[in-house]
Amino acid sequence: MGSHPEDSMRRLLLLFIVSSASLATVAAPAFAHAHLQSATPPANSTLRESPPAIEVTFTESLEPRFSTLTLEDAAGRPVATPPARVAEDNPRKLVLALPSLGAGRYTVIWRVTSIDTHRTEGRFSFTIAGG
Amino acid sequence: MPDVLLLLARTGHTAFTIALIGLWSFRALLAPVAMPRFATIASAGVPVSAGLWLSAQAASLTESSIADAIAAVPDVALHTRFGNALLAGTLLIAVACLIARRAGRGRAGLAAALATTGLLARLASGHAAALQDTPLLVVQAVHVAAAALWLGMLPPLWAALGQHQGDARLIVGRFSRIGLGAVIALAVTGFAQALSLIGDVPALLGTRYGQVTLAKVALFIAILGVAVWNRVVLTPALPASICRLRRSIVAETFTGLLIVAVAALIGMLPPGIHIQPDWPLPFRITLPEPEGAGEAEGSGMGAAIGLALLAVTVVAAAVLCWRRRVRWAGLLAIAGAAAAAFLLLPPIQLQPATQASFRTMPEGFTVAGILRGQDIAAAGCTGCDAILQRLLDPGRGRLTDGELYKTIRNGFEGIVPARGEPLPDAEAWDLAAYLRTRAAGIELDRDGGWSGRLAAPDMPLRCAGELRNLSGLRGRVLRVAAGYAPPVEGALTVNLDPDRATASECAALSDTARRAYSLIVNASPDALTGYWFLVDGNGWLRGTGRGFPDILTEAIRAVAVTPLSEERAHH
Repeated sequence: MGSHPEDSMRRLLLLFIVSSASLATVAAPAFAHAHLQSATPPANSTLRESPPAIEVTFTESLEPRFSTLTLEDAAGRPVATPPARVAEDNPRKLVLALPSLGAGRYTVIWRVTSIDTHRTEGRFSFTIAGG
Repeated sequence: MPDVLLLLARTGHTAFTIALIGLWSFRALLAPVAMPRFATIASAGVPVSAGLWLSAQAASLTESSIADAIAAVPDVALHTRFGNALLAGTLLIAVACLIARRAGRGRAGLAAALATTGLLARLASGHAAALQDTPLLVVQAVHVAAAALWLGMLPPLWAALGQHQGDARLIVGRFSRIGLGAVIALAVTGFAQALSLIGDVPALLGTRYGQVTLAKVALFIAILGVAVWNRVVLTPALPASICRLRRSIVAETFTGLLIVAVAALIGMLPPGIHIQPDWPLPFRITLPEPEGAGEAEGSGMGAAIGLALLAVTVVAAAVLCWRRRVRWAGLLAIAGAAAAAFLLLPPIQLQPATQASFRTMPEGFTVAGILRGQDIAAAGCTGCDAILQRLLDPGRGRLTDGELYKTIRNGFEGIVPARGEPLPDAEAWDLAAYLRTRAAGIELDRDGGWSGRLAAPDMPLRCAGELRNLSGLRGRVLRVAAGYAPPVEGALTVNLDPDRATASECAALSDTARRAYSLIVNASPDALTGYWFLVDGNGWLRGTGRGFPDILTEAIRAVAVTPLSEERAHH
């Protein structure tokens, strides 16, 4: 609080200064991976309690028989879950129902095939703080 | 090995289908022509290549050998979109074969229409369908149908010129009308597809998808050259030139087959827009940064007129060529291209580039990455000062994220790397995110603004109880705030303090967000209270300040109507 009006006008001017275009790609807002659009829980997030499910949305529609989502704990041991399924209302989203997870760091590993038969894979982590 | 088989099967299936479509279309539209052995081979080739394709695709999906993949074939055929589309398409072509067994123009037309539908059915398991992009799907359908009609009619044209020599001129005349329409459709739809699936020059030159597309364009230009030669030189000399014309049609057909193979390869590659490109040149072209919004609009208008002029020139030259006014067509093409180039090409600058120039941060520009980078810098970074100085000198041209990464890892443009040993990949990107943010903060203090675009660092949020990412809120103007921030008209408020979650529409999940955003304004995290950051609908930071809600509302309105354009990393 308490900055000069002049200062604020200068900052406002910046709105227009920043609106410069360039052919080069500069710091771009980007997604976690070319094919992963969004995830719940988000990559690298810390949660207070175990989420009911992991939901990962991709940029392309998925082939249910050839798309999997698995979970590993901090020691790299697989966490037992029912198989992941494609959401009924969104052919781009995979859902993995979870048992109640204890505190710790978990890694989600996805291997998916889009309906154009391209396969991609990747992983991301989240942490449950517990308490 | 499965990939080679896959390519062969895809090419074979498409080529056999196109051959049948062309034969039946020729009979329906141009002249009766007898090619019994050709028709038998193509009819048998379609189901055989479909079986091979299914097996090779099953091997590719299950990552096993062809022999082991046979067991997975029923699963792939019946329970994947690819299998369903291929089966349905092949079935339609089989029905078409039955219909075309008896002669008649009507039957041939119906068979051609059914076989074309069978060919188009495969698009249901293509890139456009996967992206759920209906306009792109329509564009691809037109492209495939036009290619099938033009290329498929070449073998029957060759046969008909042997069988009906007296009507050669009439048949060729009718064919070239269809050919001209197909060529125009192919060029327009091809360009539209490239825009959607390649998107920009780095992806065109720096990805396999782009490079193979360039090869396809080269082949298209070659086949077009043969077609123009046939139309302009050989056709007027008919019937004396009939042997030369038939030989030329054979060359055209083989070039067409090559194009089908290249198209099959393109279908197997992930679209360039999804790939990190490897820039192949030691320099890149940059445009001088426009001084203000007005100038940017002006150059956009010039480019639009230039593009329109180019399109009109191409169509007019094609029509003149078809009417055998070759000289006029040539003159028009040169004049049109020169005028369009003058309007389209702004004054350009060359800047040193590296293979990594157009790569983008693999995990995005995130709060977590910036803070990891800050820790890496704190742990020792002999080159960081020099790299920071380079970032603060926009007069030397702005470093892209990829160039910043390259400088940090290996040094670039004479600047030493961050450490003696090259940093691991992920750490180099994190340090790039930190140095970019740090430079932005220093620049804001020094100049009152940023010299280039800066994205709002991404972070996990809680919005009305739901977990989201900042990047998941695209399309809306955001006011990212620290401390007390009552709602403001026209923007969604994102608070950097997790304990403000109930009072704000969205709040950061972690208090580390405040640390990263404080770097952007070169303040300490505690001094950030009262600051706001405006983020436009495409995720770019557009301004920052403290207090003064009246100016804030005005700024939000300005930002809402002028979002900066998206970048390739959005895909």
